[in-house]
Amino acid sequence: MNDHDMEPATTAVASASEAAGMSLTRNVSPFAHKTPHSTAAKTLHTTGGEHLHPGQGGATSKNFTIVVAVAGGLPSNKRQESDLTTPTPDTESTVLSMDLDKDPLTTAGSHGDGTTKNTTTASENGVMVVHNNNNNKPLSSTAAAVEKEDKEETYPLVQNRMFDVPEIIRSVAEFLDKPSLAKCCRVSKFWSTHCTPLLWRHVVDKHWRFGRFCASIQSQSHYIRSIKCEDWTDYEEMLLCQFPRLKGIAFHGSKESMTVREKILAKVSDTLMSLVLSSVAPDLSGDTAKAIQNMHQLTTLKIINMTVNHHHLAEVLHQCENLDFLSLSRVQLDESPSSPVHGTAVVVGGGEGEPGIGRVMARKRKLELVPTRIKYLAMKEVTVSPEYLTGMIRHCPNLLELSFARNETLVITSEMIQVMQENCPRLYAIDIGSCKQLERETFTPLFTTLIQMTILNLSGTRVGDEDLLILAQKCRSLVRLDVQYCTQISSKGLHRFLSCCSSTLRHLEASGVTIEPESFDDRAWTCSNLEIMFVHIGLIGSYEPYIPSTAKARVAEAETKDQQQQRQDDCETKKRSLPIEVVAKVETPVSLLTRMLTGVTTAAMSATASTPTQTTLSTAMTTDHQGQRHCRTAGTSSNSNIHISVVSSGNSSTTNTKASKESGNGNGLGSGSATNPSGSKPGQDGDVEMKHALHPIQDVSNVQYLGLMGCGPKLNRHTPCPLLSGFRSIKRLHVLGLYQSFKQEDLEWLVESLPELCRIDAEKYNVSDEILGWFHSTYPHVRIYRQEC
Amino acid sequence: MPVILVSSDNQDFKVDKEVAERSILIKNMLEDVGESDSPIPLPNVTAAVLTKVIEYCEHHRNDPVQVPEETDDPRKRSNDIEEWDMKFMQVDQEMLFEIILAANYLDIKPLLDVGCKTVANIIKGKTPEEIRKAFNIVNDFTPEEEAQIKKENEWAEDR
Repeated sequence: MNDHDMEPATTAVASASEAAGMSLTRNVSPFAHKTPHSTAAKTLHTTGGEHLHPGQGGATSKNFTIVVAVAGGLPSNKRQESDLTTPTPDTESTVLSMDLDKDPLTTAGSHGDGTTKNTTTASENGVMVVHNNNNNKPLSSTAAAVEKEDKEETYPLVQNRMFDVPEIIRSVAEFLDKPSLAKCCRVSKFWSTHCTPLLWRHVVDKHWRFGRFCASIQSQSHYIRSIKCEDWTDYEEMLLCQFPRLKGIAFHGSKESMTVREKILAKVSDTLMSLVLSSVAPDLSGDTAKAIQNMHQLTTLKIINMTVNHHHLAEVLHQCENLDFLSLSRVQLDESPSSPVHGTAVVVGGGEGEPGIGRVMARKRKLELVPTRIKYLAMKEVTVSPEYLTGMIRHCPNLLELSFARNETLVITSEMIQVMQENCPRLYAIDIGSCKQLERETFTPLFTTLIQMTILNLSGTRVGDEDLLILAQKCRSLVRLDVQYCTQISSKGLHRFLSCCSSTLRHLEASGVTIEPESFDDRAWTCSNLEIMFVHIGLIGSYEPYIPSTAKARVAEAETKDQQQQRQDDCETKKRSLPIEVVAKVETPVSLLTRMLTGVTTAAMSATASTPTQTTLSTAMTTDHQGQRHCRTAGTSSNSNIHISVVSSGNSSTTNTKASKESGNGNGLGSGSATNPSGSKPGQDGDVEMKHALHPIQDVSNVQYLGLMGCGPKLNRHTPCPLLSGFRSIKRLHVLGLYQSFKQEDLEWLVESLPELCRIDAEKYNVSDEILGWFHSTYPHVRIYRQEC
Repeated sequence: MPVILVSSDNQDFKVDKEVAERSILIKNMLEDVGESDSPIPLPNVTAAVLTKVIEYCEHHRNDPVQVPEETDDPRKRSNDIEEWDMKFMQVDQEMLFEIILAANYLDIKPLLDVGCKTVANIIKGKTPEEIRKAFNIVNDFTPEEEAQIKKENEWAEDR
């Protein structure tokens, strides 16, 4: 236990600091949802629509025809169409049913019991059931058939038509991971036929470690739709393969020379739709650029961590007419004249000097002649002049989403905003996350001009309260807003934003923006459609306790007075209650927040500030602590330090005891004043007072998805129930980033307290293998999904 | 306006049009035929199965129409099953298969997906022999063939 608590404490800091970086991956989402182009889903869809195949039996088709007659023949087109798309299953199943047709008599007899429901079609039904039923004496006299005979008796006589229908086995296989697929390939020939293509559809680098993979790839490469090549990849072997259906290829790392890769690219240039080049060479050579230009199907191009010559890029944009997704990350745009040879000088910084601009302008004019079809443009961590960016935007009249994330030197000029407005009428998403140098003056024109935006990522910028207010007033279509770690946004500002923003808002990412409920005034939040919200809950500083304004709330308060007293007693008796105290403190603002959020269906709240550094973490905790005993400011600092150490590591038993004692005392005091009828004077022990006043269950009963992060609270049966009792409708509990390992009784308690619970998302260390096994056998209706760390 | 569906065993089911139209097959049919009182025969679905299917459609009558996602990567395909659906699928295997077949035939994609996910969850973690046992499937490979396939796909079995 101690060991385990220790570890999270250290990782807390690490992951907290990571969180800042991570936040980008999570929130730079305008593009995140765009997955490589593919047809699998479509294929599945078409096949899904396909009706009972020969495998379903003759009866089916006959009856089906009747239906068609009634319906005016509508599905027949669909059927033909899907037949075309799935030639393999067709032939396969035809063979099967032919096989089976050879022995209809046996089957009819054997099937009388299984098909009572459909007597008219029993015999025909039987025909196709036979395959799995083993009661037929197969005429096919293969060795396998003989084998079959031996095993027959061991199988229960269950009618099993399902896996005779190719599209169903395929639909099931779509939900299987590779190890399961590999096992399915060994089940039977039929299964092998339908699972093998899926097994090979996506190939990644690590597979090359296996000798058999290299030996098989040549014969199976026609199944491959996407391939990711890194250090393990045998490029020479790849050169020998044919990839007639390859749609996506990703090259990572510079282990292999680009010349070999260019040869591979040349082989697949006819079919390739998606290309990723990540750190493959210091710069994008003229030859590589040429290879890309030959890919006329290309729709997605991502270049990561390379130097790219402006002219090469322009040529690619010119030639790859279908390109609609262009992403440059950590790319240096080299403005020197294009050079066809390898080893163009790497321009590090200073590439955007005055001389460059002239060429940029010239390039811009040339590009203007050929507007691109780009819909998604990302220039992340790309050092480039605003003039160039303006030019790029100008050439993308179809632009839908635009990202300049992490461009630390980015300047958004009024010209750029104007171009966006005039030239890109369909633009709805802008990501300027972590553009730290962006002047505050930039935001007002941005928000007042681009009022049609539905997705905005402003995370890590200097956007402030006033700007948010303008945003709320102007952008009335906003659906998703990301303001993570915007240090200029105050709790009050966020509250005001939520009190006047458009009701279209569904998703607010505000981790790292601290909400302090006490800074809220009585204004109600207008975001009635808010479904997902990430915030850090302010750990109470000085606050004015909430005075319930409705009779209902008062009743709730009165009702809970008893519990309050009880709880006080508990605290007195159980001195070792520190974790409880921490939770109680945290849960108070949560409850206030959720009160504001009636109608919010998802609320993810991190209980402690997982700010990037330990220093800030400590600060937050200190605030928390001081807030808790606001009335006794003297001498709190030393106490808070104790609390911090306990909260973040929780492994020192001596500290723990001492701190618990403190906490118990503090709580006793606070509760004493809480019995004061007025119950609203500042300077009282806030957690007790506010918790009950603000925790009527019905107020948060819409929350179905609760996320808890941070190293503070522990979820176990000793947790005072109010933390969860307000969330009794939770269907999904997300504890990723909660630093604790669950014991059996903790999980029992969780499941018992949350009647609707059907899913827990946890990390590996949250739930051990042993506990997981026990849990799933005890509570089959609740699944725990563990993420790899 | 209610729609009358007739199961293969000639049982009539009166359901709201909105509910019946969760089935794309029926939806298209109704659109093409227009307003009509004539019952719709569903010769591939028994009363027992149709009862279950209608129960599902009733529960999901207000769900938004599923937009096909362009997700090719199986890892991105969520295996989550909603709580109600999970309970709904707690039926014997025979019924599970019947529901899947009916969902396929009636073209009710979300129900088909839920069914397939349920089956996929049964398959996960099982050896080929266990899968055969679970679904009553005959191994038509010779031991040599099976060993050969095992060898060929070894790369995929390791995570």
